[in-house]
Parts: sequence; structure tokens; C-alpha cells
Amino acid sequence: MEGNRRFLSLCALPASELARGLENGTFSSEDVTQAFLDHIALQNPALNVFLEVFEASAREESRASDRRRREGKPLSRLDGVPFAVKDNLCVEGRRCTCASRMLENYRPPYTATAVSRLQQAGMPLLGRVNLDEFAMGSSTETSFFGPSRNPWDPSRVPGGSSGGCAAAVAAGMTPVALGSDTGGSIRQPAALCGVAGVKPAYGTVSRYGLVAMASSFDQIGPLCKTSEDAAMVMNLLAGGGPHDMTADPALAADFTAGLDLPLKNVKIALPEEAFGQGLDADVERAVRAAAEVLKHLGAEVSFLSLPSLPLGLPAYLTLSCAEAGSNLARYDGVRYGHRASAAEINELYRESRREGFGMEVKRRILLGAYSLSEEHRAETYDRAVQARALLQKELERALEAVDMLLFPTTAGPAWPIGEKQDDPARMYLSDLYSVPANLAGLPALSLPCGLSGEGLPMGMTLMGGRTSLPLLFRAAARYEAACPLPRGSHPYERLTAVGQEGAQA
Amino acid sequence: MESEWKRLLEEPCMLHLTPAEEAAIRRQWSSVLRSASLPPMAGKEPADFRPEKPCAALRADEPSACLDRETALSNAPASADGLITVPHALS
Repeated sequence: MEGNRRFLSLCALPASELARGLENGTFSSEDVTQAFLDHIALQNPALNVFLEVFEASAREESRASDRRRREGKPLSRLDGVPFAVKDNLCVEGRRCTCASRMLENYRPPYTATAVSRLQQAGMPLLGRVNLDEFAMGSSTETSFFGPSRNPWDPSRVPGGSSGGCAAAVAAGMTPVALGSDTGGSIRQPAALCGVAGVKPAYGTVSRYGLVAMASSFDQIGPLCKTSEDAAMVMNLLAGGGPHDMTADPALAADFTAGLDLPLKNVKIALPEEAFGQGLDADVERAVRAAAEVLKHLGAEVSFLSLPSLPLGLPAYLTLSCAEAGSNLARYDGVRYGHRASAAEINELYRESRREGFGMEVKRRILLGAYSLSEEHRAETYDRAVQARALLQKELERALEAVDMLLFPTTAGPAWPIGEKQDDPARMYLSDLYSVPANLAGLPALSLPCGLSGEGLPMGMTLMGGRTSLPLLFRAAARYEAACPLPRGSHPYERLTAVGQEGAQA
Repeated sequence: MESEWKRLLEEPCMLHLTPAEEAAIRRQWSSVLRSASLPPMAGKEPADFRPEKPCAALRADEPSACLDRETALSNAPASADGLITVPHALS
């Protein structure tokens, strides 16, 4: 362990630098993977991020990677760089709990396409990380296994539902995490934890093996330290798949090409409606300042109006809950999952679901049923479908005039654990800025844009047309190079120093 | 309003709530409905729009082998003789 502590500084490196170091032979994948395993062991008791660590197999996969490098046969640029997965992504033979009692002991018979793509690229899998139960939540507090904590301030939430992923990257426990995003569940925790998070356009990444929440919204994407890292991972993830008929091979691209090209003639607009009441003053200042930086880098920055933006959250809640209620109907205690003891079949269904699901899941199933009921469907679900179409058209028109939109990812930085738990309506507001991208199926990327007065990270979103993700990455990478967060502020920089101090003692 | 969500819980939600959960829903239900309530979409009501597909095009179905019986039963809470067992279903 003492000898390995000197490698804890590897945990502060982005995936791109780890890849370079592996290529140059500066260190081995075994060194890298062991460093992250040691760091997980140090940090996880306090942060509750990893639900299970795949120590033995991760070490074995790292040694296999080193053997391939010695033979001159790496599988990809990221061969040997480890990753973690949100625990709603199936890995054959491993538990996939969705942070729910309902699936506490479920072991999928197959691996998600997105996960197997990274494994086939040679990336060792470190383990599975915490989330809000069935991806329903914005704080990782609804997890059956307890909340994860924000590495910037462990008394605060990391966001959700991919809060475990964001916290793991922010804490230096993994360089790459795979999350899922239905209404902001990658981007919102990325913003609250000061890392980059990407929700690709709907259809970019196969959803096979992602436990479904709302099937017309769900997308898988990476959380990483930098947007360059996320682009490298997207190169592996994107492009069709045999088991998802909505996955579109035409959306695959080289997302790393042109990252250092200038932003001259790139048109960026800020929606006026995103800067209204309820937005934290620090966040507003930071996003407006970021717009100035992008202007200084050559982009043409303007404002525009999106009058339909306020329709986004209610439409999302109605439609996603209707779809989620339908998707979660399969958990009835019969074929898999938690089964209560019951004398009769209907009692089995109801009691298994009563015991298996937490409060937020039940609330959303109920809301979905309400909006699909005969009495209310016309005024709720049908109108939400129309609102979705209206917002989609409005965004399409806006993105014919500009290349991308820039707006806050969240209304404010991370809040204290427990503060919003009993107020679901307040919790739902956390997704206010993120849901339009899911409603319209458009790509959106969150990256850090500064620290609040309390020293907490804030995020901004770049969102563009369906095929614009390479351009979003370019803008993000140029901004990050011009405006990184202050050196030493990231938890993965500070925690590594603690590890090194421990080694010297 | 309360009788309505209680009825929905029975069918189609197939859910029972604990007393504490029921109390929470009772407290929160109006605010949850307000969160999901759409404002008027002036001049853009039903006739103007058709639902949009979430993706560019759905490819044709490609039938493939399903799970074998043993794999399908591997996560079953209870099984016997190659079948999933359940409590009494017919009255």
C-alpha cells in the first residue's frame, strides 16, 4: 500500500493524460487501476459512491491491457484507462440494483451495449456506483443504499440521478463514469460536482442494457474531468447497436476532431427566458461571464427568445412519469426482483411493489397513472405531447439561426442533504434547465463555469442541433482551455495531496 | 382528490402505501400536480400539432433468439420444474 500511495497523483489526471502516459510507458494500467482502487478504498466510506468495487476483475483487466501494450496491440486510445458505471447499466453476472430494494439481488444475463463497447476498447471496469432509485431524483437521496455525498462539501448533495458518477469523477475515484440522462441526470450532477457531463442526442448511444425509466427520453453518456475526455469516450459509445431500434449509426462521429479549431463564425445564443426569477445571482454572473469569454474566443454571441421554455418542466414531468409508470409495471414480484409473501396474486403484486419501491418512485408512478387516466388524459398527457412538439419546433427554428444555445445547467449550486427531500415540487425545479434537451432529443453538454461565493462549482450548458455534438465539444474544449477552475480547487486535486501526506507520515 | 389517487393506486398502479407514505402523498399531491400542470398554450391547442417521433427513424425489427429457459429463470424469486411459481391466481 505504501508503494502504491505515490501513484495516487494519477487519480488527479484526466483520461486523456492517462492515455498518453500509458502510450508512452510512463506508467502501466495496473499502476493506474490500483491507484484508483486505493483511492476508492480511502474515500468511499465517507462519500458512499461505489455500491460494489470489482477489485479482482479490474486488476485482471488492467494486466491484460498491459500485456496488449507490450505486444503493441492496444484496443483503443483509452485501452487501460478504467471506468465506472451507474448501477442502472447491466453488467452480465454482476448485480444491477438501480439503487432499489426491488432489484437488490438482480443479476442481469447480459451486458449493456454501452458498457461492452468500453470493455471491448480495453477499459477496466472499476465497479458500479450509486444513483437515485430507478434514476428518479435530482440528489441521489432516494437511493435504497443511502445518499452519496458531494466531494466539494460532503454535507451537500452531489445532484442526481447520476450523482454517484459525478461524485466519483470529482473525487478522483474514477477518470470516467457512464451515467444516464432522462431529464438532466448526467448534466445536473456534473454541474453540482464541477465535472463535464454529456447527454448525447437521442439515438446516439444504444440504450440496450440500460434499465428503462422513460424510453423516449433516456440516453447514456459520459461524465469526466474534461470535455476532451468525454469526447474520447463518445467516440467509443456512439453509433447504433443490434438491440436498440432507436439507435442511429448516422450519429456516430469523430468527436475529438477539431477540438482546438477556432470558434470564429460560431453563433451562440442565450435564451432570455433562462435568466429569470429563481436563478442564483452567482450562477447568472458566471454564465454571462462565460458568454463573454466565448465572444473573446471568436464566437458571435447574442440573445434570443424561447417563449415555450416554461412548458418544458410540466411537459417532462407528465410524459416521463407516464412512460416510467409503464416501464416499472414489469416489477411485480413474478419473474425477477423483490417478491413479498402473499396468499393471492394481486396481493403479491401490490405488496411486492409496496415493499420494493421507495417513495419517489411510487409518487411518479401515481402521477403517470393520473395523467393517463380517462378523466385527466386530455388535459394532461395529450397537452404535454403537444407542448413537447411545440418546444421541439421552437428549438429547431432557433437552432437554424444559431449553432448552439448557452444557459445555466442548474438554478444554483449544490444544496444541503435533506433540504429538499420532503418537498418534491421544489426538487423537480432542479431539472428546469435540463429537460428541454430531453424533450427535443438534442445533445447537451454541461461544463464548469466557475465557483459560487461559497466555493461550490456551477455549470453551464451548451445545447445544439441533433448532429452538433462535435461542435459543442469544440466550444467546450476552447472554453475550458481559456477558463479552467482555479488550480487546486477540484477535490481530486486536494484529496490526492492528502493521500501523499499520509504516505510521508 | 384523495379518493381519486387512492383508486389509481389500486388500479392501474398496483401499489400499496405505508401509512407514512399515504400521509406524505396527501400533503404533497396538490403541489406535485401543480408542478406537472401546463399553462395555456395560447393559440397552439390540439389541432395545430402532431406528436413528434423522439428519433430520426426506427429501423425494422430484427428478430433474434430470446433467452433460454434456464437464463430466464435465473432471477425468478421462485420456480419449479422449469416454471415460475406464483401464489393462487384464480378465485
